[in-house]
Amino acid sequence: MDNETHELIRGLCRQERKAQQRMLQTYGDLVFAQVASIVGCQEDAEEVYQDVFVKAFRSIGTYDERRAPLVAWLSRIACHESLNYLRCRCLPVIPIDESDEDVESIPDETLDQFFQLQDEDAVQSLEKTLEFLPPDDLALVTMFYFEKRSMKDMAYIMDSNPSTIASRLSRIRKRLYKMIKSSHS
Amino acid sequence: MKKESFENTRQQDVNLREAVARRARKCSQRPQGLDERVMERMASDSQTRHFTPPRRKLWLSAAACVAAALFVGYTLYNNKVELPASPVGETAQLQPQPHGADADTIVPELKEEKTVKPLQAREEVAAPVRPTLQKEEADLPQTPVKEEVGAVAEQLADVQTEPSPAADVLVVQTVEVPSADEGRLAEAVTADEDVAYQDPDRVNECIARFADHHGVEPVNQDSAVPLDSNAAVTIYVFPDKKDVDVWGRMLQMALWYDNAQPGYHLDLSPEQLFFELRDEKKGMQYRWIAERIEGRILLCCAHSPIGAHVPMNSYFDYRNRCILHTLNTGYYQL
Repeated sequence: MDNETHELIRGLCRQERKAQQRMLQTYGDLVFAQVASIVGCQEDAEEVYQDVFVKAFRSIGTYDERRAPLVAWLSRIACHESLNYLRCRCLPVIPIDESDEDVESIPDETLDQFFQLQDEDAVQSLEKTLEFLPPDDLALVTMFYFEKRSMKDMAYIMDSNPSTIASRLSRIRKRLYKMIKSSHS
Repeated sequence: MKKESFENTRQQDVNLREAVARRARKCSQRPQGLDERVMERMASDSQTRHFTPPRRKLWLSAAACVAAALFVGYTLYNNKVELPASPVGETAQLQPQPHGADADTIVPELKEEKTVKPLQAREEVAAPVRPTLQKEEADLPQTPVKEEVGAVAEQLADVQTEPSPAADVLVVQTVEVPSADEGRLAEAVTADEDVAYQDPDRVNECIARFADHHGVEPVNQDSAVPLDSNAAVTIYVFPDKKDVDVWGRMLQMALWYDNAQPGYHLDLSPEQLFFELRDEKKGMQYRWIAERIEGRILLCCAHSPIGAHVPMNSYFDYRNRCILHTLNTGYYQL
């Protein structure tokens, strides 16, 4: 960690206004993009964005720089706040009623073919289908495909371990495929 | 999908990647002035809420609180333990009782004590009577209790066998030791003061608000309570639904009160709930009865001056009418 970040953390710990402003300038865009990508609505994203930074400023004392860089810690707060917001404020997402066995039976080749196909219709149906994913799954997909995070980062943010994250992503792909196919049929 | 092939998957899933990106791009522009709003929130929060102290400080303050509580507890305990010393003084002053009986009553109370302070009260009493005795006692400042009591008993025997006019005067002057009854009364008052006052009427306020929220009006009870009664009885009929959850609300309210409150009584079963409180400041007693009857919950709230008769007949009459009506008609409408 560079000296500048150390200095920033020290200022935040002292609740200095200047340090807080600098943190907003440095990480604001990143956090907003992350929150907006999970929440999916401008007004909601603005509200969650404020909650994220207020929480970060208040709980900076709990940040442990040996565990993760500051930006990962901030992303973790952003992710949790967005998920909490979705769970509390939005209408409950109706879970897809299907057994894991049913989803697991889809071969990887079929999935690869489907997701690699450059087709506008497929993109549009996927975009619509994403709205029906549970908040946690949506956050994972966004972190993986849009923010291009590593497994380790995602595991830290989601309070999990990389292998669990990997299997969850795999299952989400299969579910998305299943949802699109069943909507077409 | 294997862990090592994830990077490939991310690259190859073109349409999924595009769909996620489109969704995210819809609102990824951070509006102007958002940071100012965050800073304003922080400023307004800091006025009402101080910075959370680090954990170490919290632990230290918690430890200090525990130490203080232990110290206070120890001091109070010691004070209580020293109380039995007074009967020793009392027995030294009151001659009419036989000395053997005194020794028997004192010894069991003090047996468990290791040491006692010099018996100042007894010294004050005995000083004018027996100067030599005072000297003996001064020589025994920290003697074990049994020995002390034995010595007291012997001295009492001496005093009784050699009555003097001075001793008679002393009896009148020094009988100031509180009786055992007074001691108990004092303890009871202290214990009551320790319980923070919680107004029982708040339950009625909550029930009224709760009923209003669910559009439930109190049942007309004009004829139910006699005019000369100073008790008030209100009956509500709630639907027995999970989202209304009268049981949960009542239990929540009952548990909010400290069960050391005077007159606290809570009885609960899946079918009936009985909760009672007494407000000694206002001299009122409160009672709530809830009962599940045929898909409805009958809730009766009654309060009256302490000791006054509460005409619960009205409640039971109403309850019986409800049950009979339901049995006869199959539906509940009165």
